[in-house]
Amino acid sequence: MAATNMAKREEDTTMADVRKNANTMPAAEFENFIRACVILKSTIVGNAGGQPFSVYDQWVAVHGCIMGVRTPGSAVFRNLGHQNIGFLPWHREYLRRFELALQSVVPGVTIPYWEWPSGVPEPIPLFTNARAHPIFFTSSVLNAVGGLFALNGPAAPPAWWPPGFRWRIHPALQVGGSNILRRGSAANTWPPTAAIITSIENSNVGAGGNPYWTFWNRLESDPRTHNTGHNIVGGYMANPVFSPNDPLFWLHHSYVDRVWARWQLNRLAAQPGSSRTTHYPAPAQVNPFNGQVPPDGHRLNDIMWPWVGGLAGYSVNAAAAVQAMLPSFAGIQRRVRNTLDNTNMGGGLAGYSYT
Amino acid sequence: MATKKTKKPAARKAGPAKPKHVEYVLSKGSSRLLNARVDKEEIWLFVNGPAMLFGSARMLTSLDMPGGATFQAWKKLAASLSCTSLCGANGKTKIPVEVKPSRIGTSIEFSLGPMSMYQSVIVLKAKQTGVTLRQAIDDAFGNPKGAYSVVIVPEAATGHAEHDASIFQMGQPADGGHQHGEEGGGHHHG
Repeated sequence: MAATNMAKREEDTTMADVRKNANTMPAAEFENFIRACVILKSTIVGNAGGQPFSVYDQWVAVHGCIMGVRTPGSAVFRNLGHQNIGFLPWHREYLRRFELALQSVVPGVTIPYWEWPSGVPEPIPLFTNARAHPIFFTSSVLNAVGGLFALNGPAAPPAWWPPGFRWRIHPALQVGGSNILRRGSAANTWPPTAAIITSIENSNVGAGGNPYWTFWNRLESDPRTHNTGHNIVGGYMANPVFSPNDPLFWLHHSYVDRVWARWQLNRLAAQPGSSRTTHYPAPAQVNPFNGQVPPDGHRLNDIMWPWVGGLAGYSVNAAAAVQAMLPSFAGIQRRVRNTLDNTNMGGGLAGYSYT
Repeated sequence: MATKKTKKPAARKAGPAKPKHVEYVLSKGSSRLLNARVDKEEIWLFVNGPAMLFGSARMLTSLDMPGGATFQAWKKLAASLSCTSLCGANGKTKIPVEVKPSRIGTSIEFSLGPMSMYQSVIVLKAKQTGVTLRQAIDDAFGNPKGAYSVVIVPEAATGHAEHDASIFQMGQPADGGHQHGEEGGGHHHG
């Protein structure tokens, strides 16, 4: 409990960017987030596979490519963003950079978080669906997302809506030939209770050694956490490669990151004199599950693709049209260790906090 | 005539309904031996990385053949169970519960869901409504008298590197499932 209170106090410190609860934040601020996504989605920056792609599509392509990256000297493609300890650092960097892209078109906007225990942020436009709630959780049928993302566009578009714009999935980023957003889950295993989340945020924070291993594993893989959230929403969200096609992805991962940030604060409070760096496994530390060192991209000092600062020898296992969408991060090199403090990420990313 | 007052039985306190299922998580470092002989009607397996981290699961018992673990008993048990995968990308899928004889004995085997780096929920239950897994198992093995156990043993996936995403064809569904056509004629903003 003391650790939790400490987390609260430290999070109260003022940061320029504050990520807020999607359920309770002012509607106008949430609309700004949607507006920024729509602007990025409607801003065409190139052509891939014979179809124009947008800034938003570029970010989807990055997530698709992280599924299979070959690092210099490696013989195989590996997932550098999931299923190991780098899951949290990579997504923190990815979200922050996407957030700054949003801010470039709507100043001051931040990524809201989907507070899992509260259920579904149903009242807000992102989730509005004429057939929404019962289907969302009980049907195995994938259904088109409604509201602003409806097949024929919003019935009453806001003033800022680009004329004629409809949210469509680029052919190279599609799953199963669906060019519209779909959701629909076969499972009914949501939401987690607040007690579950509190438990994870305090998971072994007072323990010796390095409890990050079990903390990360719980947050990514436990029932009713990250993986379940993707599965329960279904549709594009349930496809690991192109899940960011659904803007709910950002809210989902914002909450994942919030849980990590709160765990870090709780660990700092429970281990006086420690640092965020010491809370992350040391570079040569072996995985306690199998005695193996984590793969490239996951260790503390590893460079995280695609922010490799122009280093040669990286390649990705993706269709040419997907690779053609990748944005340039020339001159930017980021390591896992750079992401450990969300309030001060360096490298021009500044920082952010959570309500 | 005096009416006899009858004391009403005290109303049962309505507490939260007890879940009819038990949950197990299959992830890195999770338990490799899961109790299947439970007093619940369903077992929910939260499978992380189906077909990537986890391939299939076997059901084994501490009983020997003379104690009841005969081929026929396994066959009866397999026939009494149903298995379903709940996957957001592939929908609800029936999974066959198969009897696997070998040179050292018999077991039951079932897949842990269509390929994904995220998660599937596998629901294992008795086909007969209201029957617990313990009842189904005991019935199949002839209600053995002594203590015994029946466990589910998840197996690691094989065939590709743990993190190797080459099995994902970019732009294609993970396991070829749940195709759905375009709507709206494929209009793309421009």
